[in-house]
Amino acid sequence: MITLSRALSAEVLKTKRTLTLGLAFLAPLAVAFLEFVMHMQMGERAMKPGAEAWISLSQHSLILWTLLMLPLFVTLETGLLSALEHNNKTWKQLYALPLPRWVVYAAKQLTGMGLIGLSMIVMVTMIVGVGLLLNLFRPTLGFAAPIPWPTIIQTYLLTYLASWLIISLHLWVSAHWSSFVAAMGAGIVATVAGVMVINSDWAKYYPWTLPFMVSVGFVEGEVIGGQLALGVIGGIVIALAGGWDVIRRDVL
Amino acid sequence: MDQHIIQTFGLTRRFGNLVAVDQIDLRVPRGSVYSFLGPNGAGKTTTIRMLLGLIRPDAGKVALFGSALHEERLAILRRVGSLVEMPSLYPHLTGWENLEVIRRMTGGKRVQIERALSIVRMEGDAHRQVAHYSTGMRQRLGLAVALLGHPDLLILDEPTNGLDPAGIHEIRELICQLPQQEGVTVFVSSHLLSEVEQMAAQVECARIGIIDRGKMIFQGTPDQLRARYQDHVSLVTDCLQETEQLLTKSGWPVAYGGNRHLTVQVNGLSDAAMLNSQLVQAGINVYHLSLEQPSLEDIFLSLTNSKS
Repeated sequence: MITLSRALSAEVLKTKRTLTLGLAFLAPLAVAFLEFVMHMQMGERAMKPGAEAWISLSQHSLILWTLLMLPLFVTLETGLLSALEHNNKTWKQLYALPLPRWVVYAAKQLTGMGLIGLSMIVMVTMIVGVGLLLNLFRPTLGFAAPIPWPTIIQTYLLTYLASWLIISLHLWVSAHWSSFVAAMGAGIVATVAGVMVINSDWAKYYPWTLPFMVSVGFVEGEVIGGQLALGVIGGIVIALAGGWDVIRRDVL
Repeated sequence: MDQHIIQTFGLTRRFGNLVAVDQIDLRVPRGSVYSFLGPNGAGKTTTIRMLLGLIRPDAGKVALFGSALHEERLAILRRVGSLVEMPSLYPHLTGWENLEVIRRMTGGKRVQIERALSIVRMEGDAHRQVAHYSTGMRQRLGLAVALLGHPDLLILDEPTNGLDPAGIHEIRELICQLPQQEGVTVFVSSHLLSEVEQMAAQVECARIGIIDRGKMIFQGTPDQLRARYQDHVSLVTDCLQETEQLLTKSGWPVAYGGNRHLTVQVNGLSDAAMLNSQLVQAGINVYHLSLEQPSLEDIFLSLTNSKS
């Protein structure tokens, strides 16, 4: 555990002067900005009919966030974490240190999960901020109602848990292949495919649509246990597989 | 057993059909500077990666400090510092931060960073970003990373690669002072013989290992290497044919060299003097007589070319 916390603190230091941390704020900011502009432009037409304003905004932003921004953001963050080592050829230095190899990988995995978690917190804060701003400029939209914190926080928490699987998948891909372009390509293709998969029965099993299915399912009161389990357990299993791959492979 | 810091037994590694490292038995004595020499692509880096546990051997085993690497990897690596090929540095971090990353992972004390920086004489540039460093400074910082954990063994792969002569000199000085000042055993690979020769002249306990096409073709002290190749006298006289007959009759191993001179295998200076007086007494005019000792360069080239 001490070794792992040391590796984590080294990982944090390595992100200094990189975009890694900034992106965790920029990605939610982009979604929040779009939501704000859309609601300012469209007014009531952007709201879900019959729903509370806060729930409508939260759900609307989740579509943009979980279906498009999150998978791309996960791809970019895990890609950056791995590229830091690939580009500078530092894997060999790290693996020649007196630490178990899996610790090095686990530190990457936890940093990735931490960054995505942070972006979820930022997203919640920004969405609430957008609602409060809209209340100033468009008082008729209904954002004067009390903020349903528990619902919003729970939705984002579940979305986060369901995203573990894609975090693990993308970290593995980016760590295994040294090409940043390959890692990005994989993420873009998987995300675009997700937009098509979303209307099919596969959406419940497709890793890149899981966060969306879980978030929407939760708001609509559907049973989402299976999908949540797939996201969380799948994420853990793939992370272990990635760690196993790292232990076994030659470092050239 | 423990007087050898590095020992390998029949170490072998294949890449497809290519046998990159073929049954290598390294013996690196404690406190030595061991130069691991070979042309590019001879298998030096592959061997070094196996010494550090970065890649697995197909056959044979590695023992460092008398323990098997595959059994005690972490305990062994705690005593080893390494620099494999180009130094592994994060250009967006400062020199100090690069050392701090490694220190955090290995859990040493902060003073180690100051110590490593002072050994490589980089205290002044420690707080600049590595992206702005020259190649020489990066190489020195790479050496500082290797020295960070106060290692008993340094494994350096081509530490002078890409450096200008002044940089090469500086790194060599650093490496040579380590065994005496820090009690470190140094295993350093190189494809430049001149560098190894100069290093061998500077340290008390020098060892040379030569690898070519995956095979170890020599291992021992610089003197042992030279002893394999006898001195010879190069000779020009007024009548070469007569000279040759006379010397052959007296039992000297003589051969015609190119460019109208003879070469005679001898054993040191006294032989050369004896040869000269014999010729003069026989009434032969000696125009030129020189004793030639093969440099390590010649030996290396003859060793690595003989099989091609």
